[in-house]
Amino acid sequence: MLLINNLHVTVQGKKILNGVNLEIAAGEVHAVMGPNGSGKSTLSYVLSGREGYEITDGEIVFNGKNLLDFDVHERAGEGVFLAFQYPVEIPGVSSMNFLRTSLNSIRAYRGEEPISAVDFLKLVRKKAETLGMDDKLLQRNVNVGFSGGEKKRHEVLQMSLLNPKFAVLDETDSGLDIDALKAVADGVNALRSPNRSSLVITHYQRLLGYIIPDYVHVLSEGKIVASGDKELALDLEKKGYTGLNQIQAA
Amino acid sequence: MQSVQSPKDHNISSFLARYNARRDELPGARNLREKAVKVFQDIGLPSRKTETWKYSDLRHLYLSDFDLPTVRKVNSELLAPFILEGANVIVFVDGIFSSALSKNDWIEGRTEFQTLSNFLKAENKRDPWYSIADIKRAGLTALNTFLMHDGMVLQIPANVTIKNPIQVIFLNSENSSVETHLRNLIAIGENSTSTIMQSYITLGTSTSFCNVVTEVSLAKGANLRQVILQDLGETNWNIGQTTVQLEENAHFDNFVLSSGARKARSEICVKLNGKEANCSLKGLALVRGNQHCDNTTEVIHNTSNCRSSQLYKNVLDNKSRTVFQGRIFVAPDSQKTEAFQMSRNLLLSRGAQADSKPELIIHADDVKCSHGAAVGDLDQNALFYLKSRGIDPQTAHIMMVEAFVSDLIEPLCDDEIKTHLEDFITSWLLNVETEKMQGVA
Repeated sequence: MLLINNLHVTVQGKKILNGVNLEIAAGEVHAVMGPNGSGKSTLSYVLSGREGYEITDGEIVFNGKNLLDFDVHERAGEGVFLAFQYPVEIPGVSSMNFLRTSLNSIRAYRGEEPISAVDFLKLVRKKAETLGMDDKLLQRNVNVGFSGGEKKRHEVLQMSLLNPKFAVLDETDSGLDIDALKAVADGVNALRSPNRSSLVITHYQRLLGYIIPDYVHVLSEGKIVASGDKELALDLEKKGYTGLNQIQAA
Repeated sequence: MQSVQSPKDHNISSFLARYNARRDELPGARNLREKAVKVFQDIGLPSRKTETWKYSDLRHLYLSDFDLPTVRKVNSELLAPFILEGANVIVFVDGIFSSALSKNDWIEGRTEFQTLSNFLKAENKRDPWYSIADIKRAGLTALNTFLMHDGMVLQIPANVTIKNPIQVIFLNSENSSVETHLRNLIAIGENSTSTIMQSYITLGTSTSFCNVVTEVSLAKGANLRQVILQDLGETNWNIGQTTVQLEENAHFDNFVLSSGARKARSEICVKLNGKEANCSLKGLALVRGNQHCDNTTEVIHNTSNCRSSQLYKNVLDNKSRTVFQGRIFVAPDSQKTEAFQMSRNLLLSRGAQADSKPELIIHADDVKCSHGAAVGDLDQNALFYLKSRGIDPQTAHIMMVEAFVSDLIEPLCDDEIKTHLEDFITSWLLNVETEKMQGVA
């Protein structure tokens, strides 16, 4: 589904990614762990097409297409979804309007008819209920006045509505208490399917106890330095990233 | 820089010659007009040396020649898109009232509408309204006073609620190049309520100069919601001066959406004269190209327990320019005053420029007053967030600008006006040519 090949990225002249290689097949969940500054968030932004990231070498192939040829909104149309580490507050834009515009944009991209207001309302209410979200929250402006947990649930709600093929979860666990973490993880797990893949980016093993990955990769200084199964995450938790560097050096 | 041989002086003599030719018209305002001439001879026209005109330069206006208003016929179908559904409509074409285009049969009994020229035909009609607008204010009010030729006079008696908005359309006809000095008088009686929308529009292209003075008087408990949409063609000049006087418990709500004209200035002066009177002034400029839009306000708290709030926002593209000058004056003993003011500017282009100048003069000690100003561009994080959800760059920009202006549009009470203005804003945004809006990376 997704192939990242020798990806080199600079931001404002500074090299952040130094040849990342990663292959994710349909239905797989991969986790990327790594210390601060290792390039985890850069990887998520490059996948979603954010401006300001210069790809100096390498390629990203998504379902046989060169992902780098697409603009941000087109990537979303192609089925890439980024759950933000810090979901953005947008005063003046109601959540409902945002969600509907978003869903209809994606539907238009796929050549589908727009969803009617009534059907949309039903759909959103159902999804919100599944996530244990008060749908009154959606009467508010996008993320404005949402708690940390509500923001992350809102991200999962969007993911569930837009039905992406590939989701990047960027530190979805940050700022969550155990209950919220569990609710968010349940939401993500409910979306696991043989045709959907995910990339879970996280600092800690904690989240991976709830969203069990098929593969774990360690990103350090812009490169994947170790890959393994979920045991690698537990190993890291014990030894820390410095411990890992020692293993690498040995 | 090329120097121009005193176009102002040339103008002044031609203005006075025109007054002399029409001296005997409008006998009801003879004394006032004579007084205005004297004031005008004394203070002349504003220049950038005039404190309140520092940021708005009228030199090009003074260099232009205009025609005098003449009656022109306009096909009513052309007007249809500008008319609010369900509204009572009064139309002026090139500064002259058009009975054929107006739909004011509703007025009988509950409202008295006359044209200014009719109103002032009779002698001794001198009315206290004349003292509302200050004819010493920077020359243009005086000019309007001695050259005024037409306008609307709207009187709503006590205890009347006019449900549908009254829409007054000031239309510049195609290829017109006229100079109009319109004078509007609005008086709302005790405990009466009305919504008035003034639309300044152009059919095709025109190069006109519209100098409008509007005087509003709100009796005790009266309530006026005034919406002004200025969408003249981008080769016109529009200067509007509104002076409002409020008695006890009166409420004045004003919103000016200014998007047209080469140079536009909306000046509003509100005098809170009765206790518990309050006003809300809002403005939005949507400008591009080389347009210049100036909103200048003055709120005078003449007595205690009054509230005023001002919120002015500008969206600027290309090399356009906006000015906001907001003055709050709290007279001695006007205790328990609440006066707020905010000016926010959104620059869509690096070449645009926004000037904000708040001025608070407070002579009472038990008051709550605040002011603020901000200039910025669109939040790139929010734009990225919207685009990452599949929303195309143009739609994302439009959503963001609409969000920026939402607190001006949301509170509008009349649904027809709200929809009309929302559509107006969206269509303006669809035409923004900035690279950013088209999403060129």
